[in-house]
Amino acid sequence: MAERTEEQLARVLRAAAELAPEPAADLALRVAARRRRRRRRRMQVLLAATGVVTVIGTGMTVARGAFRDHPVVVAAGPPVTAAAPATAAGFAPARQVWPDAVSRIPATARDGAAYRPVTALGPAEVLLSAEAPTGRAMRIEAYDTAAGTTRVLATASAPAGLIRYHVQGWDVDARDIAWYATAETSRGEPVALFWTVPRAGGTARLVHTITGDPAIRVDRIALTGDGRLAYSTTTGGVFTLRLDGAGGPTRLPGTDGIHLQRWPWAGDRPAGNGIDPGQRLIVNLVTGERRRVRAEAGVRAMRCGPTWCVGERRGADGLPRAVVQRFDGTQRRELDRLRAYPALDGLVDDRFAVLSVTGGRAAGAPAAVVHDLRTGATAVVGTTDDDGGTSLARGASSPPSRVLYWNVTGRSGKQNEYWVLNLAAVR
Amino acid sequence: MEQAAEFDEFIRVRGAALYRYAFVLTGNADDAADLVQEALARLGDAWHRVKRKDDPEGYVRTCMVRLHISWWRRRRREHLAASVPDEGYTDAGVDRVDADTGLWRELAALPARQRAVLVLRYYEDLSDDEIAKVLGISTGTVRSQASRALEKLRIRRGRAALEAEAEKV
Repeated sequence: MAERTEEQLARVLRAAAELAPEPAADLALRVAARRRRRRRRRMQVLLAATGVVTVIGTGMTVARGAFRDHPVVVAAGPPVTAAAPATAAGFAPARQVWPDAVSRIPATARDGAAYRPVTALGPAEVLLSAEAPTGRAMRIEAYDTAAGTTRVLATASAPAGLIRYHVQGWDVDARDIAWYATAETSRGEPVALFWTVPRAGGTARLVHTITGDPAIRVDRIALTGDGRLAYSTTTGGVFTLRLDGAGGPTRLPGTDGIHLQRWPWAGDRPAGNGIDPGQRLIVNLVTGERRRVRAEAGVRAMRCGPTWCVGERRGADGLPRAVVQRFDGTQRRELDRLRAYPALDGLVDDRFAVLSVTGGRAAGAPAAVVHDLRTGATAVVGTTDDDGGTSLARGASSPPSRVLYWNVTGRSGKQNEYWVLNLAAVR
Repeated sequence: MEQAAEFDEFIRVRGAALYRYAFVLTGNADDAADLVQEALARLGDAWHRVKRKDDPEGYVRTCMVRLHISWWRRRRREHLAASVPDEGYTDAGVDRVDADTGLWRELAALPARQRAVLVLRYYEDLSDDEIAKVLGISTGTVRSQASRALEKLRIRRGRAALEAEAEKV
């Protein structure tokens, strides 16, 4: 592509500023509401510190505060920014909705390695990676959430001679655990490395190392259950590799523009890549079945399991709402106060959707919710701290992880534990 | 009460310009609204002190750019995204302007600090020394961040700019 100039950059920035939507008509009121919330929170912390409100549960304090703060809306016309003030009222925390599925796990191992949840191995077991600070040595552990104990499955180290080594995505099936890492040679050539270890534990094996573009721009991997590992690239296209290490990548026919989801399912959207447009195609890589997603006009950020889809649509009132439907457009419903969360894309097990709360990241608002399409239950996950930063992550597996986790925050201010929601434990 | 009225007047007069700045910084309407509200809330809390120094606009702009970077860092870390921006959403109108260059879309993929440096340099027209002061980093870091960002966007530096930089080294 032709080189661009600094003048072009300046012009684009100015043009974007000109085209920015108008701020909400009630900007001053919103700012005032935010300042009140901050003041009240400071007051609550102060009271808690002096023991005045020890009989009042935290949940109650928050709910009361949120209720008092219900905003006076004087917007002239539909608000353009749709940053409707959200409150915690109405959605219960995951700990209450699914008490058996939420547990605390350490964020670091005794030796200082950083734990990173990957996905669920079962209702009471979570797969963790424990990376040394350099990122080059890694331990793979199974954490028993009931007993609070951990079991080492394997260790693996970055091969010598590679720099910028980062473990990226994972998959687990009944027999194996697989992961891939990206790195560079000392000459700056990109490399993708594919590893496996038996699920029961054992010796980690580096089964393939691929160099060269575009095969190495991996966006997701998946175990196929028949001795192969599949991966898709950021530009689309699905390849398979034999787990015994023989041969090289084989491109699956008919997968132009296709990205893996959970084997054997794939779709036409790359991993976590933005809000628009949504998924329009669901493909079964084994049978060749292709399902067209039927969505109403204006629906964006659609992401589908094989059967169910979740996206969002801006209503006539200017507010976005999450849209849940089957891929063929039937059984469609809209969820008030919720919208798509494209950074954590994909339905978990064709059943659970991570959604963000409209106006989220406002201080005191819930960070996100998990909505159970089967039962209709909705539970708050993640935390939002005083300056509006959210803490919420999905496990590192390539197929939408069954594990979500976020920092445990407390008066100690130390964040050396995670809350973990294990969706495999939700009945 | 006088102070509150002054602050509200500031929001009324400067709100739209600050919002445009937030939009250029964040790249999308929702994050822009969030950013401008949070920065104004902080300005409101510090109004008495800031007003005395007579530069509420500078205060709130600095606050916005720093908040934007720290939020982005946190979200980036928490979402553990591999290499893609969280949201590629752009307003349809901006897409039209951007049709020729694709620059607006690619800006979304830059780390927040690099994007902030470009916005301060090419939208706010600040010098590298001024940018360093706003971001609380060294002028050398400003330059390296800017050149890294320009390289990613495949933007050619003008000869005048390069010569000016060479003289400073």
